Amino acid sequence: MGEWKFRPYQEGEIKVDPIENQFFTTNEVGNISNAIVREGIQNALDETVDGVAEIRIFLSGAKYEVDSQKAVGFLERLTNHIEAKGSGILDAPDFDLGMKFLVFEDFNTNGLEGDPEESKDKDTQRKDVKHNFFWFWRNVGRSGKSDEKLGRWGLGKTVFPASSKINTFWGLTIRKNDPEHQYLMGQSILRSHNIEDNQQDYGFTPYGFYGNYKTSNFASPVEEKQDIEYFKETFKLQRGKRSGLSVIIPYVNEEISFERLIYSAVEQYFFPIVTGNLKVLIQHEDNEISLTKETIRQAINDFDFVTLKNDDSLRIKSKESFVKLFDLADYIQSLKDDDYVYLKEPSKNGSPAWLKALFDQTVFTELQNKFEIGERISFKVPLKFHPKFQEPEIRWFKAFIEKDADLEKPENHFIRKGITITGINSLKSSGARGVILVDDEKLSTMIGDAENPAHTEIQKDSRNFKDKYVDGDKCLSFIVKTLQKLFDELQKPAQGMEKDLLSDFFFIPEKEQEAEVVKADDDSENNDNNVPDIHGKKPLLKAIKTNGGFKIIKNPGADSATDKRFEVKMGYRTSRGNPIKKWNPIDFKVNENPIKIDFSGLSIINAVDNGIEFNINHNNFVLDVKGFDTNRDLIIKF
Amino acid sequence: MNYIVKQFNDDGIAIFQQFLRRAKFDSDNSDFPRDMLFEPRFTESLDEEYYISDVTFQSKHDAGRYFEEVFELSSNKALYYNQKLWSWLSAFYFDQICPVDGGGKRKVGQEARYILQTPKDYQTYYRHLLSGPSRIYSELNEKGRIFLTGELSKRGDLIEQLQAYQNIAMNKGIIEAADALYWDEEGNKLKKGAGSKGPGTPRRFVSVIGQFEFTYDLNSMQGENILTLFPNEFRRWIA
Repeated sequence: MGEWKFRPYQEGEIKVDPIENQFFTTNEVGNISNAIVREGIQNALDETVDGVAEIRIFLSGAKYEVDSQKAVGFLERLTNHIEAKGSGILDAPDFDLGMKFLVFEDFNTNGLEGDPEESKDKDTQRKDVKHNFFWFWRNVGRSGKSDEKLGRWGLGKTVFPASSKINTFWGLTIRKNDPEHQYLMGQSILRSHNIEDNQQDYGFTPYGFYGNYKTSNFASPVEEKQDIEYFKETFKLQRGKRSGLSVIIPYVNEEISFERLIYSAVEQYFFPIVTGNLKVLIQHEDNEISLTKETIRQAINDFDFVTLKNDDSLRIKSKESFVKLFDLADYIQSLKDDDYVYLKEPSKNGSPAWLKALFDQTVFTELQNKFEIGERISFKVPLKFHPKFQEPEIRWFKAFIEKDADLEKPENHFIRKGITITGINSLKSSGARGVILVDDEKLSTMIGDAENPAHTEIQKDSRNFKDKYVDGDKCLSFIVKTLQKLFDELQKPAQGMEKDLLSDFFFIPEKEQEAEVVKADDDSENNDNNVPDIHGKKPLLKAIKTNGGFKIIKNPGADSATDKRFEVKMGYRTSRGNPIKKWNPIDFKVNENPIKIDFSGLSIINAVDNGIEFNINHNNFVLDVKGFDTNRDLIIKF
Repeated sequence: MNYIVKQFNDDGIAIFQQFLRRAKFDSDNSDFPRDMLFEPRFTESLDEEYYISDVTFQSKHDAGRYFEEVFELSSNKALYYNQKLWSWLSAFYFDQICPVDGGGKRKVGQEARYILQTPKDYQTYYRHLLSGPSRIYSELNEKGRIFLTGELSKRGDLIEQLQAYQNIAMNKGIIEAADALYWDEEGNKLKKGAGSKGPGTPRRFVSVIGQFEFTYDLNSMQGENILTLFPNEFRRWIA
């Protein structure tokens, strides 16, 4: 069995507390479920053997928690560090209770390759062998991942301890090229601390390791079959003899839920799932949901969105939106090269910019018509790729855009080699869904260099990106603007007036009512169609248009309005903005000519500018306001 | 001397963009090198041959009329949107659209003033200092005069107010109404006070037009008919 050990500080050694958790704060990743799904799957996609990565996420829940006696064996010599003053663990779990845990396993991947014992620079810098084991276990903030891989910061793995109440995790790996061996290690990330029963002159370093200690400070992985099988059984691993990595998170953060994991996996990785490059199995106690090319639609159909209804961070708000997204992904997969509209290739020597020269106007006139009637449009977009000290070249990425009238907010999906970068929102116009797909190796490299450690944003000042590319910042700006620029270009030029420009404005709030008083053709009063049907409780007041104004009376059949106070506001309807807010004193003032106010059965409390405040004395009341310009529509709101 | 009109290629546009960005902060290097205007690496020929000269424009109206004559824009409307051409012309006449001030410095403005933007982005598209006046002149001839007063390098409040709205900028009836309200026929200039704020001014004109849009099909109305709709605040402007 392995043991936990923290290395004591040496005399004169600078004490440094870990800061990597700050890269996975709520601001960065939305929530911890998102982060663990994102990082875990990303690591697997990096190391997939034949194009299809398989993931299993298992939440023990209470049913399969590890009982406290068994748990103690795995935490020996760790708990006193966790409970030490200054360890950074402010809310340690009760170790006398069971240990709920999470397992994150990837299959069909290479596992952590390389010599588990290596640590010397001369060994780790050799180009002819892999060093993944070394990079994963023995480095923070440094990465051995090459440019085309998704991870570059060496910080992604930090999300595993961040998901544990004791900032701890284990990892068990079997390597594709070494299937006979299994390697188990663990890591606990605390702060510089000291413990009472083993006081050190200079305290302990923050990083503790679980393993076999052949020397005093170097943890080797546990390899003993019996120990490993016991570990696998305890934590319900399904590793068997298959290659890959299993990560075990003890005392898992309670924010991580079955529903959240499902939503995060689909939201962030729908594309590789739909295209058959990724399979995800999510289990909670005895419940499980499989996310594959064949099952993802059914899974979302069965998914209870109500459980997440108060979560504002959901980027995709409904099953219907997911289904449309899957349809779009299917459609993208079915496209051939000549199905795309190619933008015109710019000069390699210019700065990337959305110039008119990119668009073939003849083609776009036709596209506008197609887009107008709801067709999806697919583009290949050229972008300069110019690493410093190399020749520039034009590379291409893909963009897809479609109308969806059901979308109250635009839906943006920026996918780089399977991973969705959630913080990039190009489309600003509602009623549209857009996807940017970067599958070109070189562009993927460039964008990846600009990503933050959490892979949620691209940043021109990112340390891996800055000063690496000519016009790098303009390249990022260009790619971020893509969907909105294409959307703008697909808009048909306005044909006269937009009759429904303010259609969204005419809603009936629960306690307010608006009536449009249109230009009267005659003097007759019209009691019909002035108040839209409202289901439920009848509004107390009713507006009736008159020539050059309106009357407000009690709504027949509504409750008594006596002794209630109301305010009515007015403004001329305008093609831009809210008529009430856009009111200008030059338009009219209710207390000045030509506006006239007559009333009975009520008391006017205040009548100034564009508002009249009144108190109703009895139900047979009338407020009659006239003198408005009959060439303009009047909007009233109360 | 006459020059054959060229247009920038993509590299030329990029070079001009870079020049503008630099000139914004380095007024000692804000003369666009003339020889680059005819340098094959940065320019290309138009489908037809047009010639221009180093004419000095007294006003936007002058420029609009000149380019209408050179390119016959009213029958060559595709040229309205030719970014490469108008950007090249901006570079050619750069001394006029971005003149050196009394202190010997140029005040380089927003890029859209020199490099024509996409027409879809109408809020910046119309800002091009040469293409804007030319298009107005070509579409409206003398009726567009209220837009075309003043120096080429300066934008007036009136043009900003009226032209920022696509539905006003090219609606002949509305322009006729604005012309009737704000143009002083006798003095051949804008009426005094047309640049101010308050009742009946161009700012209000824009607001009230926005209100009429829901009650009248302004696209089908003549200027004189639109004028009859205006409320009393506009009385003092109607001669």
